[in-house]
Amino acid sequence: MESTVAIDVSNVSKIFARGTAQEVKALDDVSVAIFQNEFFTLLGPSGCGKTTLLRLIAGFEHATSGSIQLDGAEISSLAPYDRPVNTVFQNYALFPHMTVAENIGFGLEMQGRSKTEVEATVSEMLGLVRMEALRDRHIDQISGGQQQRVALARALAPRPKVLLLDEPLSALDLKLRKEMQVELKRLQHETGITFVFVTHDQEEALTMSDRVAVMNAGKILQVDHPHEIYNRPNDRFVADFIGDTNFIRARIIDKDSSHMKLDIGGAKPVQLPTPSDLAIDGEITLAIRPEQARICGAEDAPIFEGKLSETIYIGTDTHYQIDIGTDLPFVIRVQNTSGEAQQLTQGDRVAIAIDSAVIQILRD
Amino acid sequence: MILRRRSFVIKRMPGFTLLALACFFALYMPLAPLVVYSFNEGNNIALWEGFSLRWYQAAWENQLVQSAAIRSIVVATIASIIATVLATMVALATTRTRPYRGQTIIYAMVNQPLVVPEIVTAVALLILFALIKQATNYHGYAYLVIAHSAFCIPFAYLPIRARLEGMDRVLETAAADLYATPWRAFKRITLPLMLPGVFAGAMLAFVISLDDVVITEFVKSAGQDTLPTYMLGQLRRSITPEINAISTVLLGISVLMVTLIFFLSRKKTA
Amino acid sequence: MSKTLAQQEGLEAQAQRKEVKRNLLLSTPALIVLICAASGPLLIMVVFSFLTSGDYGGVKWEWSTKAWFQVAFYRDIFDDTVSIADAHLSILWRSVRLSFLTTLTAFVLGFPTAYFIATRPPETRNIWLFLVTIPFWTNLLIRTFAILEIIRNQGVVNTFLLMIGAIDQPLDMLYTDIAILLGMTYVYIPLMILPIYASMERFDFKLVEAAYDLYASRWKVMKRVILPLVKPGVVAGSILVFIPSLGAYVTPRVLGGGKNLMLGNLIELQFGQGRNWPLGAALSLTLLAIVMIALIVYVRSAQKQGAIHDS
Repeated sequence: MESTVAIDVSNVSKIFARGTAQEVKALDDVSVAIFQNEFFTLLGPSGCGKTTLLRLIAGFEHATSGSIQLDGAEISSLAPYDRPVNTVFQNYALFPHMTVAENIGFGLEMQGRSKTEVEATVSEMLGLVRMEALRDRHIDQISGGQQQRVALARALAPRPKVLLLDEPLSALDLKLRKEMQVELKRLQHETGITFVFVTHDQEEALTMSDRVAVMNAGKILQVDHPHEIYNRPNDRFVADFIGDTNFIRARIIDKDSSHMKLDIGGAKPVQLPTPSDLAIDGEITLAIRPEQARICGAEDAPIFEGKLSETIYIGTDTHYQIDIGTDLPFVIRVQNTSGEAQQLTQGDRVAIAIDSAVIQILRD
Repeated sequence: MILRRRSFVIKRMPGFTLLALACFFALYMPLAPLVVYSFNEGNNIALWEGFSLRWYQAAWENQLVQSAAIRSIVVATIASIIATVLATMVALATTRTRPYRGQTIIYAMVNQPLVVPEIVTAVALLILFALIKQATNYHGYAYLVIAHSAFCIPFAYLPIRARLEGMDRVLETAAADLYATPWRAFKRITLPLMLPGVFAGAMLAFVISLDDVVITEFVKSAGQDTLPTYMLGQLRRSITPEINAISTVLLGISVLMVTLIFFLSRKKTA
Repeated sequence: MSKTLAQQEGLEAQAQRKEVKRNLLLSTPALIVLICAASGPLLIMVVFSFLTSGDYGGVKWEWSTKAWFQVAFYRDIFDDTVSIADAHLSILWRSVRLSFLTTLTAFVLGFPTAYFIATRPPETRNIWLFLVTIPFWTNLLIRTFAILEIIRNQGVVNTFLLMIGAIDQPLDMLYTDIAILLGMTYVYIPLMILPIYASMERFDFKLVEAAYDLYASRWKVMKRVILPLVKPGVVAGSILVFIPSLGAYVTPRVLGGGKNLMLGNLIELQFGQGRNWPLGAALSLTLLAIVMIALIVYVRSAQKQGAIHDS
């Protein structure tokens, strides 16, 4: 993978309705570098600023401060029609008075390409998204999923340097969405164009992206490969937003170079090996994924001990809720085929073992 | 003994249907004799003497009717074109845009002819044009045209504005994203999608101008009758079925226009 | 190489200012025409109302408030006593009275009609709407003429009644206040129906179901549920009928004859036989003032009772 920077966002802030009672800070001093030929995702809940950032890159809004560079050139002052960047809109925004082919060819026409070139590219695009049969249909005669692919083809036809996608799959049903996820990945590989994808669906982000930027309240919290985001969240919000997590608040009672003692509110203090890169002290939060813990016997050096309070069977998995003395029960997830599911009854004393390397220690 | 309950229809209000049907009947009933007697052979409005087209022929051959009809159509055509073009521009300036300072004033001025009673405008124009006529000695068409253009503007404006407000701005954003400059985006996206509203506005303006009585009556110079003012004059003098004939023709034109507008608005609501 | 805060804000403010400039520019041609032939003349009319009437019509450019005085008062030319201009005030009273009655009648007939159309199944609804819209776009003169044909002495009603022997002499229905009322109601009723229908169309009939579920009677439902929510349409319809009625000219002229004058006819008189242009101007402005007051009162009362007034 190349590591040339395609888009460089530096210290960008965006404030809407500045100076009025409805002032809103959508982006707060955000900086990120997006590489060429990568599938980059902006992930976060509604209102986190991801769509605003996308619109700033597209040129539909002006940043209040900061700069955005494309291939090393400053583009903040350029109008959207002067930027080699194209967008796939959430509701597709297809032109209702034009056919599929005319929609796809629109950008090329605006660029002043010759009729033959436009024809050829449109045919190529129709082939790319497998919609050749529908080329002369009107927009209101095709289904939602087909409209989505036309929107994609329309944005790809002018061969932009960067393709922006604003939650393009949110209007599709589950099956279609999964198909399109695979399609998009394939398209990105085939065309080699940098994709910047916006979504609030963390599963989507993890499956499709080369790198993910998790955002909340106008800030970027973590930019990393999906694997790192999932296994090493650096922030409580990131850990909470992605997948399920057990959060345990703890206070460091004692610490030396090899081990540390923690008070988690239970009867006994908990002992953990001290991580080499521990940067915080005092009040901390432990974050542990439910599938990374297992029920063990006393001889397996358990970290937590507690009583089984609930067993929940969910087809593919079984969830065990264990009371270890904290506010919320500790959840362990076990796949039902792995043979690890044990016959336990409510009230049993259980011990929990966790590979200390996977325990994330977060600021409280 | 079987007790039968009348089924309860949620939307039924006692007497309303009857009143409504009576209303529809009352709306159309007076028009019936009007149309029927235009085909009357005889002179008497209430005595049927056989089917004939003589009144239509008489009206057709009547010089005064001819010149009045031509004047009506010419003024209506020019005024509706002017009003539609101007109304389109104002509609673009007052819809789908961030609120700005002059906007309410513009909106008030555009809608003024709807709020001010026609006779007030008619009198005001009479006075103004009398002054101008004194100063320039010009007695031509222009007064009628400009007066009609002015009061037709709000009628053209409303359907255009309604159509524009129904258009999502994201389409122009998408066009800009695809390298269209603002002017090209307007030409290729906004204008074509706006067109049904513009046509509806133009037809409305045309009908309103054609039908105008009060303002035209006050503003016209001697001998400058339009069809409605000619009819008004006739009503004061002698009422012959010729008026019925002209009325029926005008009625037919209105029906045609309304049908066209209905079809246009149904087509594009997909 | 990031721009300073001021520079960035400058870009956005600049874009906004460009848009406003463009909007103002686009509006200018229409505004010019409107100022020349709609708003401007009104101002000139104000000036005229303060001039003296000329001997043969027109005006003499001498300032005087005589016209305004003449709106409500009458100075006897012989013994110089001042009295109230009964004729004017009775005309004014007739205008207000008839306009009010027209609005009321239009409402009583028009409200059920709008309700009827709104409760038709969607397929037939358009046909009913179509049927209401046609009279709306028919020349006002034609419709007044149609009423004339019905009620005059040799008109349809009289001929029919005479024919069946119900009466010996034709009934004098023409040239009365009732004739004007009938004419104006007939002419303006579509203007009452259409706005009420527009409000009704947006009305969610599930609310009615809920009300019935809670033991309301039919009339209670109408009074407490439907009417309050359809109020904006009723207000709009009332305004659209009341204002033109107040300033009606053609209908009272055709159906009222020379005796039952309304304000519009009185105004026209000053530019014809009366030869008192300043008085005509003053009367027009009086009419305008009444209309504006009525508008404000209507809109205020609609806002007060919580109806959202959307333009």
